[in-house]
Amino acid sequence: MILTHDLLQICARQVFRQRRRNLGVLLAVALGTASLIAILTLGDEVKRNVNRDLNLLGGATLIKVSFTNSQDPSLPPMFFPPQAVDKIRALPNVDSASLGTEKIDYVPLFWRMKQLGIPVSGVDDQFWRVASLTAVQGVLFGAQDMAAQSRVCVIGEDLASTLFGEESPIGQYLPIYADVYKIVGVVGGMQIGDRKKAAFVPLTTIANRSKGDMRGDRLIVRCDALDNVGLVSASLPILLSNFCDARYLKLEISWLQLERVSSIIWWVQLFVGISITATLTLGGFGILNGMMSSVAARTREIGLKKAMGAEERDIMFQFLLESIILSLSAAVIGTIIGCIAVQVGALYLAVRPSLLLMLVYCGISLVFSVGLGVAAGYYPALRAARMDAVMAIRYE
Amino acid sequence: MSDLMDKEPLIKISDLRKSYSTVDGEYFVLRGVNLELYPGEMTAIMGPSGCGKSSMLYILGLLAPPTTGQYTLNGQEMFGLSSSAQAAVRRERLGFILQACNLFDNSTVYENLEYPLIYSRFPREKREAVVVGALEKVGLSHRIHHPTNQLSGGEQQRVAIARALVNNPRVLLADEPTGQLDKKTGSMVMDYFRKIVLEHETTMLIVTHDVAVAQKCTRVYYMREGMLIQG
Repeated sequence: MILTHDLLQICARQVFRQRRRNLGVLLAVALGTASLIAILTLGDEVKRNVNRDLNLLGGATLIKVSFTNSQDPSLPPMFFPPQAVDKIRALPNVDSASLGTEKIDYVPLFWRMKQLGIPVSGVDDQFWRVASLTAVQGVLFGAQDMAAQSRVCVIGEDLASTLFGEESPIGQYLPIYADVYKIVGVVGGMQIGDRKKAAFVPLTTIANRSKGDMRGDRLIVRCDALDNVGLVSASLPILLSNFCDARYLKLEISWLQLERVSSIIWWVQLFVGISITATLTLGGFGILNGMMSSVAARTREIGLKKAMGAEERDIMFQFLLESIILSLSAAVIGTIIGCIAVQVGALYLAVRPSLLLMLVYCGISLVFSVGLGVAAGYYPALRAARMDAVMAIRYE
Repeated sequence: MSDLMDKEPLIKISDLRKSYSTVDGEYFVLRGVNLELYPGEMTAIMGPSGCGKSSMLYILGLLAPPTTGQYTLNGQEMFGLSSSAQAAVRRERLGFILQACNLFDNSTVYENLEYPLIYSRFPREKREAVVVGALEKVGLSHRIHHPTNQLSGGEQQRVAIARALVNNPRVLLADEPTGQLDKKTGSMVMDYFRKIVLEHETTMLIVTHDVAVAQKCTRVYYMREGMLIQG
């Protein structure tokens, strides 16, 4: 067996000298590898983006948790303590969680010669994130207002229009029961729905100041991915049983919507996977074909090498290593293209993919390319090694 | 000639036979060849195409197996060796020179001469000196890094000779070494062979149909119907 560095030098030289012949195969494997790295690395981020967009459209990744006893006056009222919400936020696969009031108080209001009933909800500072709501004017109250039990409120776009018309509602005051609340923001967003007509006050404030019992009895949990809704929904009753009577818990999940969306994503992933596999397989067949024709074209060379004292394994390893170097070179090019594609994709999607994950997928791609080189080069190498020396020398 | 015969033969072949099975029955290429080759001797085997002279050369070069027969090289039986041991004999003791066009494509003179050294695991740092030495024997050391496709036919064949000599083989086997060269270049190549054989006590067997080549050899045999007849 010849020395390893000699073998590497001979093979690398041969691949380099036949680079024009192998260009097509090189590009096919490089593009397949680049796609593999880009899709695998950005996949999770893209999925999160899809989840976010789906959330805006229908909240497929939301789990609503409340109590079933709310309609039964014989049972005592039940609430979620703030510690339970903190524990839920710390759960894996939970993006965010918000505590609020299940009950909506319709507060009567005689306003500028009009008799109105304003739906008022108590929510925490995480509600906006969980429900994908954004401020169209002013700001949305935050953790500081929650802690200080500030008498501030955020109102829906329609309510703002009804109450103030063209006038800006920011800084105006809204009477709710016996108190007045300063309007700090107007809320909007695709998911706003009926909340356009509502007013939102800090949960801590309304729990303290309202006549009725307005403590947090409704949780909204947003999962980080569609696939994790089942996992999170299974762990919630276990966790909440430490804080309340789990028998009366009610979990609402849009299973049908979730199933449809998951199915669409599965099909997309399947087609993308098939495309990458097809590209890499074609690249592999290209290497096989190239190596077969290389063996045929270099028949006389094989005979001469055997006459010089090369053993079958020397010839075998030479052709096998040429195939591996070819596929590995393609994979290295593909890895560079893939990394650039990830950076460009990350900029375009406004995401920050994990560097570690990208490096892992680069490593996997390089290992895969070695396997591809071995698979594609094995048969031509075996054929070259077993070639009859005399026939090979006499080959014209 | 008588001086040569006083030495021990380097190669001894006894009752060498080679046959192929065909649809028309057994086809005999070699029918009991006996031959002794001595160090410092150039032996030519002549004969018409298809008479079996090249087959004999490849059998002596351990590239093809015989049907029956004995072959000893320096007293060691060759046909009983494993394929790996036969490859080692080819690396260390045999050198092949074939017809023109037997250099590697897209390569330099140095790369061609380096291959036998690579296969014999010769230290990398000492290779260039050995290659230069082999090229000096054929007067081509100044062409060491030239691409082989830029050399003339005669120069290419001299590179092939240098490649066969680079491992200092005891035996040189040549199959029509001047077959594709003009008369003048052919004569020059034969002079190189003679010089090498005499200087290094090498045993050389040349298969040829060229009378001019045979005339420059120590002994000449004719092969007819798979049998050797001394000329």
